Amino acid sequence: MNRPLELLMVEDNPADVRLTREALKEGNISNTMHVVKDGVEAMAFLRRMGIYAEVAKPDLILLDLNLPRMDGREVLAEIKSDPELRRIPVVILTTSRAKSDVFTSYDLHANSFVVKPVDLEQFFAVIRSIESFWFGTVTLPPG
Amino acid sequence: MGRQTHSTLNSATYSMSSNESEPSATSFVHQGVPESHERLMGIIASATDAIITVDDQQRITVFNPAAERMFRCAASAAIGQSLERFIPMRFRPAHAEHVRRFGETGVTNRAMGAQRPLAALRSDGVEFPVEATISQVVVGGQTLFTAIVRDISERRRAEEALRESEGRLRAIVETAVDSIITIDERGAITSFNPAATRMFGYQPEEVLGKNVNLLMPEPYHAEHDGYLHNYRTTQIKKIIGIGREVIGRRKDGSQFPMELAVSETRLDERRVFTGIVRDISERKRADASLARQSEELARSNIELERFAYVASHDLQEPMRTVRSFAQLLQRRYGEQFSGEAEEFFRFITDGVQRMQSLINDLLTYSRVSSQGSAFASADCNEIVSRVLENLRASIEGQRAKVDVTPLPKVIGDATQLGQLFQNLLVNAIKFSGQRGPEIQVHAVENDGEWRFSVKDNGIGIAPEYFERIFIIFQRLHTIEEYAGTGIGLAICKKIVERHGGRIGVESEVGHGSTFWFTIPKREKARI
Repeated sequence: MNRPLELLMVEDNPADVRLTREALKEGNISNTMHVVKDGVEAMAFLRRMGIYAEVAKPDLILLDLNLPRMDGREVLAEIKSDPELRRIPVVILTTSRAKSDVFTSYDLHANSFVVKPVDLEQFFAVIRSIESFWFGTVTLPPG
Repeated sequence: MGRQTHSTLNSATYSMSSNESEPSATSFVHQGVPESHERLMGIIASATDAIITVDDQQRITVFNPAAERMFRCAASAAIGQSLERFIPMRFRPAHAEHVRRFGETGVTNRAMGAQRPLAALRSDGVEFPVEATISQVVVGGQTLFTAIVRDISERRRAEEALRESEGRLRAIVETAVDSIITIDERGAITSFNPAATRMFGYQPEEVLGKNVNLLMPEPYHAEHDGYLHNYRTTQIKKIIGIGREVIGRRKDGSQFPMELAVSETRLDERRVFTGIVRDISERKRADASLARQSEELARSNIELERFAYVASHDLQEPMRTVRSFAQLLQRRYGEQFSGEAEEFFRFITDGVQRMQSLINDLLTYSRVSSQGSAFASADCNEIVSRVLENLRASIEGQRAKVDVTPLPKVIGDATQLGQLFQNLLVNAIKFSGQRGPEIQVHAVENDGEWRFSVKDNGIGIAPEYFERIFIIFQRLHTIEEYAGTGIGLAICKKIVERHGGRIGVESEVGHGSTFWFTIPKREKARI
């Protein structure tokens, strides 16, 4: 693939956004990271509404569960029930270790569930492994 | 036998004969009108009351077999003797006076001893209570007095016993804290004790004879006659001998909860129902307040746990941010740090580290009750050896000797029990002082429970801290001396309490500590 890979991060915590950026910067896959801060914005982005009319369809979505306005579970449910969007892999990236969140996410067809590590090195490692797995190992649906 | 004594009673002369020990046959001597006299003598001889006749000199002329038995004196010994002989000394003057006045008034028949107790004297000196009827007949110018004497010792004793038992009963009824109310089978109140007056506000005279349903509010008030009627006709007991909680109504119309026990007594053909009423307002209030309190406690416990859980989750987020960026700072700019910057930076990372431990421990603490597993059979030998495996690095590092005697199986949460042993062992190793830690894990069987102990030879604890160390965040040492959050023993306590046991410590400063806890024996696993 020659075009840069498009990554959409749905995350309201700027610190996590920044850390993810830093982690991706240390990686070596060329990509573009878009960030939206809540579920409503995420759906607008994915449906290219309003200010998002010109954005590209993301290749991967990193989705936090606890978000203002419309939370990650609702976003996930909408994406996976929309024929236009449901092929996009969604990685849940959250601080929650609660079993109920894991079950709910997979029931709603999340493509993987990742707990944000506390330690910086581990966090970087996780982000890089997400990147290398989804953008290196797997075959993504042709865009 | 057959000794005869004269007597001139109209037409017959008779005597009663007996041997010394036992009154027996009586023989008569006829002087005319034989048949009627004989019949009379027969009656006298077979009477169960003593019949004694005296002449105007108070000399005994007739002394029947009943008298012989009653006074323990043979007729032969009595006849001709003064009657006084059978009257206790202290009554003799009064007796003489009575005889004199009796003669003067000319009354021919009189019951004695009805007004006041009358006593007689047996030949062996024993006094006994009697009732006597005395009559006088003038025969041939001579006045004869005949006394019919009945020994009432038995009756007295029975009366005494009855009085005593009645007195006892009355004392109970009068002083009872519970109301005691009796009714007849129509429901009319027949007795009402002082407690009933206090409880219902009625004086006995206000309610005696009234329908007991005046003590009941509706619907009991209207239904009570029906209950009684049903019971009379069906004999099916709805309350008798069962007891139940009902509502009572006081004179002022106020109502109160009461416990009512009813018993039934049959007196000949009549039935008497006794109701014992206990005012349970206090108990109800206490019950309600207790229920409210335990509800509040449960709610506040749940809230506390939720709070601890949420707080630790939400606290994780900013802590993670601080920690991550501190690490990022060091990673990118660490080489440019001055000595002072290095020191400041260490405080930041240490603080973060500590905060993280606190949060994790708090989370563990809150999870003891919120996320515990169901109880099952758990082998403490396996649990402890797993814990020792976890702690191998620090045991070897400290050259600790851990001696474990065989431990029992208990019913509990194996994960939590592991945490319990681990916390106690970690402490035993940590607070070892200068010496190499020597630790003993031991269990003994007590009444209905297992008592486990973890004994060390470490620095020990002063008695004033025995309670405090189990309270969350209570520490006895500075962080520099001994690291820790002060949650370990609080978690232990919570785990033990979840298992229905107790935890404590025995220790002396400088002589080691023995932490012990109990786990009740259970038949089966329960949630």
